[in-house]
Amino acid sequence: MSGSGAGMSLWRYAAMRIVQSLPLILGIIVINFLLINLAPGDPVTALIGDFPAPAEYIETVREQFGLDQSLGVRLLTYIGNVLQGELGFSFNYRVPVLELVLARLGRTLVLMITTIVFATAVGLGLGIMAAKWKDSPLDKFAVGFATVGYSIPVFWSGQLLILLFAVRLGWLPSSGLRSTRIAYEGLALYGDMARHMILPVLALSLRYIALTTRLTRSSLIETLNSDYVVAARTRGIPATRILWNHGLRAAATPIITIIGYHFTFIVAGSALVETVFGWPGVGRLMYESIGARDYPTLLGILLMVSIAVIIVNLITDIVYAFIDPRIKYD
Amino acid sequence: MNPNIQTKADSTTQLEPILEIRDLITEIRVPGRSLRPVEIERLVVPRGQVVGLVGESGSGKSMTAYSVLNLFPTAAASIHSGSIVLDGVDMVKVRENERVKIRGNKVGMVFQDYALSFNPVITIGKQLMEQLLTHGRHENAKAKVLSVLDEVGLSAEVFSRYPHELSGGMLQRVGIASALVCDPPLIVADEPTTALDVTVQAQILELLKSIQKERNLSILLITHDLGIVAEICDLVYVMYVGQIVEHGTVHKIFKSPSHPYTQGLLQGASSVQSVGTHEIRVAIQGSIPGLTEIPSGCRFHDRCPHTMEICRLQQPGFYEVDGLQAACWLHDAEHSHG
Ligand SMILES: Nc1ncnc2c1ncn2[C@@H]1O[C@H](COP(=O)(O)OP(=O)(O)OP(=O)(O)O)[C@@H](O)[C@H]1O
Ligand code: SF4
Ligand SMILES: [Mg+2]
Repeated sequence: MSGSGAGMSLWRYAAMRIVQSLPLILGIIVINFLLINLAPGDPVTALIGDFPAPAEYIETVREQFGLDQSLGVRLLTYIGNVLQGELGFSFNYRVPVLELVLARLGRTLVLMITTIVFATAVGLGLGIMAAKWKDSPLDKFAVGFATVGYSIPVFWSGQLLILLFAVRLGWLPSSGLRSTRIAYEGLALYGDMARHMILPVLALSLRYIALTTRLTRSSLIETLNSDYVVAARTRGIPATRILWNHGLRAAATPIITIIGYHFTFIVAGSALVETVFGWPGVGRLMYESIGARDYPTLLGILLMVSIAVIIVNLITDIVYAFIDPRIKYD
Repeated sequence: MNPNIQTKADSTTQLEPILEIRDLITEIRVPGRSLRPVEIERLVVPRGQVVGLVGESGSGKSMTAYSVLNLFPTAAASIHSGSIVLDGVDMVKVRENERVKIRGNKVGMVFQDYALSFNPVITIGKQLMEQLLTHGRHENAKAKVLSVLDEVGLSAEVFSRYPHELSGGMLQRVGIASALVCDPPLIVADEPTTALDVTVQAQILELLKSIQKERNLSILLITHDLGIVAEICDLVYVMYVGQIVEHGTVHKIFKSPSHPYTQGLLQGASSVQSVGTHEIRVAIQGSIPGLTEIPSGCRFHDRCPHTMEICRLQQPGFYEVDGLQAACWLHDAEHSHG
């Protein structure tokens, strides 16, 4: 960065985008509030679920969320509560929702981050090779794989993987976070967990790999045919260097967009994958909460996921602006 | 060689020319057939001289420029046969990994579309550095880039600018800087001023002129602008449908052109103010034929005001006319009387 005018406006742009996303987050909190209040029956039910709760706790909730007051006052109280991390209480698990979700968040994040890193690496590699050897058998395979991979639903590919690698070949565990028969410790425990992660990560990655491959390939091919690449070649820059330096730089923007904007997909996908593979993360928690009609937990997860999606999109936009100097900051 | 050429040419013609094209055929493969946008028998750029290549749009000037580097913007184009000897190396014969070392190092190219010649997301400085380092000039690379920026009239600040932050004139200066950065003996400039504003055109032309003198550069200057040719070139080649139809010193061509096509070009140029216009003006009926409908015999015969029987049947060779070389039957002793 030159540290001059252009750099300044970039930071201003970032600040502006952050400020802009605040109303969106507020909007989501309001929608969540309306879901609680407009649900049929007593809002208390929505906040504590269908569980037989002691009368004095119902009173506490009623007071805490100001349910005896007007809708406007209640909205403000609710916003205040949410900002303090007060998302309600899960009677199914008998802990506050925030605590419950945070306890499981790490496992989901491990799954998601591993997927993103793995899928991006594989998709990039496949896309680069396909673009470099365009129309070769390898390219045709990559294009075919990308098309098929994109259209297979996660729960189906997940079950297919379980059938093949767990049931038929018996190579990998089909479900859970770690082995229950042998209690591994230290490094072996991590190895055991990694083995449990392989199938869920594969299932979750498939579509992501397909997307990244397709996008890397097409944006590389486009770049390598652009005028400035021809110009760079007339300056004697070798083809390989052009591919790595110019081609991938141009491909970076769409790839980051994919990672950012398909975050929602990964979130939804991880809920399915966690269910199929019995991975005790937030997705699995969501699934269980639906079954148990545990509304507070469901609403809490919904709220947190929505905010997370907004934040990731925000980060994507900002990174995007940092990578491409042509983006106008207005 | 002609004894009348100025002293500057005299001292240099002793040396081997910086660029010599012989029997060049460049082809473009299109479904079902192959087209030939360039068929040049001979084109020479002597050391230290500026050679103009002029002709209407579609005559094959850009294809000739790309042929010099043996590098084409489309994979469909390639050199069919011939030789292109650039500073002693035949760009047709030598292997691609050798050609890569020559492009940008022994020959710099300047484009019309300056806006499209640089990567939009990499700073100017980094792109010039990339070129220097690629060609093994590691020592004082940054200082070299800054000095060449200065040479083309740009401040050191441009080093850290992105292409979109510069004006057209500045970007074309960067284009020239990039052509010069490895100190090549030859520059190929394809319509370097055409896309610029008229006032900026004049500045860029001045810059090219002064750098050429300063460095004793050889330049192959492609243009449709005869005003530019008159101002900066020593020699000129006139191209029509892929072939050279006339060549000689600028002075002689302007004074007494011998080929009917050149005569048409010059009349067109003098009848309107041609400097700064995008299209070359030709005081000739009809338009240049496409590569799929190349006329038989002399390729100009369907537009020429002097067409004779032989013109339709047989292609004319070159005739020397008052120190110029013209490919036209009019100068053949047998036919000129008709
Ligand atoms: N990719 C291509 N496929 C088919 N024909 C092509 C292709 N590129 C160029 N040509 C043809 O080759 C011929 C020469 O083109 P070229 O661009 O060299 O002309 P030019 O003299 O540079 O014209 P201009 O003054 O418009 O730049 C033209 O007839 C053009 O139509
Ligand atoms: S050869 Fe014939 S047609 Fe061609 S330019 Fe000369 S006179 Fe005209
Ligand atoms: Mg051209």
